[in-house]
Amino acid sequence: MEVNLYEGLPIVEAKGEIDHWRAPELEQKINEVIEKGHNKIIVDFSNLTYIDSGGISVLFLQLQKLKSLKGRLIVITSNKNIIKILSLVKITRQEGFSLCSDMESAKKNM
Amino acid sequence: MNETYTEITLKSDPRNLAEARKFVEGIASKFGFNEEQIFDIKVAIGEAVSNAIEHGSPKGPLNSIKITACFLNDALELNVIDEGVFKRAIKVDDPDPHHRGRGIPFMLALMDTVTINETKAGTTVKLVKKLTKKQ
Repeated sequence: MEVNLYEGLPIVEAKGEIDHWRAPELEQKINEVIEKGHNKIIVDFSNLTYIDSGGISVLFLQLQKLKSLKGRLIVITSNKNIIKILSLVKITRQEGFSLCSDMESAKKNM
Repeated sequence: MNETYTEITLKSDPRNLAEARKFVEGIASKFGFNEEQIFDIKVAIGEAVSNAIEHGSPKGPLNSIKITACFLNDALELNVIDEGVFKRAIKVDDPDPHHRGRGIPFMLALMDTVTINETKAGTTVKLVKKLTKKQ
């Protein structure tokens, strides 16, 4: 998992699979970005192929933190299975959350 | 036991979640489930095994979790057998980030049948996915 800045925007990139074993790493990476003063974060799941309820709980937790900072959580993915899971838990309907298919649309949502 | 039956026993350790998923992916692929169905099966087994690790393993990694798989009558039946008590469910779209009980709702949403049988010896979660030909 990597954290990069793209035109000043923090991007947490998670590849492969996020399960209950890897979810704490995602939580930690997003925490690091928030602690640096960012309240708008892009989580790049472009190369993510699997997520379970452990990863989903991290997204809900970090979204709540970012909302309290008047910020946003933007997830990038076009993987239909990942989108299905995000839609199932209805995080896509939460205030402060955006689901984007690519970086360009993510930047517009910032 | 017949030729479609197979099983695996793992130590109760979250590092083994990937192995559990790989096990069911191989079986589901062999019997012709499509990519979306295989994803559903992997999430469901992941949730069942995660719950078994967290709540069905009073001795931690000293406990074992057995996964059995049987393909019969165009349906894949998986059983996750642990040595403890299962976690109660919450609603799958519960926005409370502290809840970690989405496992059962995920299983219910992604599989055709989910049956949880608790005994003093442990919990067995039966997951069934029918093989449908939609692509």
